[in-house]
Amino acid sequence: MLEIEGLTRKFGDTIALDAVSLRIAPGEFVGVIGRSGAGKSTLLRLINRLVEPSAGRIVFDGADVTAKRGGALRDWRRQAAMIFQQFALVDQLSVLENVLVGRLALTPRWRTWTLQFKAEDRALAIEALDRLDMAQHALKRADELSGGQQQRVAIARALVQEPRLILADEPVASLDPRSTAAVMGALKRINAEDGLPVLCNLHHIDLARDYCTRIIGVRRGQLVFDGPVEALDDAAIRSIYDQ
Amino acid sequence: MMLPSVRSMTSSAAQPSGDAVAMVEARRAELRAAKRRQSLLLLVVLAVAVLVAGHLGEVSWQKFVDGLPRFGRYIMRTMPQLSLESFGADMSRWMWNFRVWVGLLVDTVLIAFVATTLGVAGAFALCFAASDNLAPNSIVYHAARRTLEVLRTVPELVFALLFVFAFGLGAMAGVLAIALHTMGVLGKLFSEINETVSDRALEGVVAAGAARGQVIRYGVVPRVLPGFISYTLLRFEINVRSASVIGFVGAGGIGQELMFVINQFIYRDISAILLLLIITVALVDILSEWLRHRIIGGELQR
Ligand SMILES: Nc1ncnc2c1ncn2[C@@H]1O[C@H](COP(=O)(O)OP(=O)(O)O)[C@@H](O)[C@H]1O
Ligand SMILES: [Mg+2]
Repeated sequence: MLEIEGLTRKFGDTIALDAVSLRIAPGEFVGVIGRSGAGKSTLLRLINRLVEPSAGRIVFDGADVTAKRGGALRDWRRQAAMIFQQFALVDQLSVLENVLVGRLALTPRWRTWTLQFKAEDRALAIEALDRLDMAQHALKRADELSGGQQQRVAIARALVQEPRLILADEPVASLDPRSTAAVMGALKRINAEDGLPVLCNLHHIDLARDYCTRIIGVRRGQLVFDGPVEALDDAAIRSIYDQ
Repeated sequence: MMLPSVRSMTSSAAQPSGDAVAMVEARRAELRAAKRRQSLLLLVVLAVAVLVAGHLGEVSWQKFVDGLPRFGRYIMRTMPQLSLESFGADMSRWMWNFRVWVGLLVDTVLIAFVATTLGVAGAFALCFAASDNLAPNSIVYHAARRTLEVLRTVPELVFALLFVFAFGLGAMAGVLAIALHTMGVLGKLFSEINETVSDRALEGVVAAGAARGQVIRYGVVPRVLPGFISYTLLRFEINVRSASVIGFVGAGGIGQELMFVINQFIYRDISAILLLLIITVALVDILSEWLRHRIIGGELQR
């Protein structure tokens, strides 16, 4: 259970996120919608602790995430797996090596310097790729793949992190419709099969309707809607998107 | 991500856009004028600086013109007598000490090679601490930067003199001198390449919970390696030249012999050694250029 209380982040005078509180239960597929600049990315980046909060608390299964430092922080990041709009792969590494990045926090550091992992770790990574139908590309360089393929590699990386939560920041915003279906379908499958909660920023309301069980609306940093997907009617949409 | 300014521009797109065009054009003209004034000022400052420096450094046109014939005469005196009928004999007289000279040139290249290897290792060890985006804290960062600065500022010849004093005449002093200078120069260049890797590009590794060393190994090293290799090979070429001068203070290589024949006015030998040196440097350049293309091309294809 992820609990967020009064989470706030300021950038100078801009209040990117303004005292947001919410709870996310295991198995939920939550879509976060809102205009560009509403604070959706900031919310996810705060949860992974890529951004530090100005105020508020994040608690996961009773443990205060906002207080974590050093090794504990890195282990939290591993559990709160992040998926980025621009994939955030290392182009120069192979697909397999990129997936193995998801094992770094679980591997003794001295082992990782040579880019060599235990056979079990490699097997895990290959299985994750296979689950996303990407195993045949495992030894290609990451930048040889199409956008949709790269995003599936990023999802495989998230999977081998043994996450407790998936944070996806507009994972399909730079993809064509077919790749979009493949990537959203993969997230949905992982959500259903592994019972992992997914928090997914989305640009398209239609996508949110198709894949999410619950919708959160953010407007100018504030939470203005939170309800089941069926409750997202025209009035709600207007309240989220109107200036 | 859309910034607020972009948003307000799109929302006013419905209004006639003439105002916006005029506004942007006016601002652009202002910026261009300011830039032109700036470049003009810079040009004046540069010209004055060159004149003042030339005056203080006693660089004078007159001296240059007066000296030219003397320079020409010196060059002429070093030229060998070669004729077509007895070319082979002339050549072997000119290159009478060929074996020794080639041996010394091989020493020179080896000094450069060992020094470059040691210098690169040192530079690699320090360059991550000396990058402002990767250093663990500002104390380590500044310590690493200052260390590299000192190494780079002390000329190789000065290092060589110190080491000849400490370790005696020979190649060891030369190797150490060039290695330390190389470490300073490459450490700085490497850290600058590191700084071009943006935080956003590293986020994929950071967000997975990787520690600093792992972020460097997985996020930074694969990106910067081709640049490191390219600079290393360039430095090797430069170090071959340095290694041929370092002998002037007794730190091994061809320099010692060159210094000797210059001081003893053995004119023919000067031109012979210089010719062999030029050929060596050219060979090294060609080889390293070829290697650079192969390695970097290969890196792209991998
Ligand atoms: N690193 C940053 N520095 C300054 N301002 C930022 C930064 N990140 C986000 N912002 C600002 O915070 C607000 C919310 O941004 P963001 O969370 O990226 O919105 P969204 O993802 O909903 O488009 C925007 O006004 C944006 O300009
Ligand atoms: Mg965003």
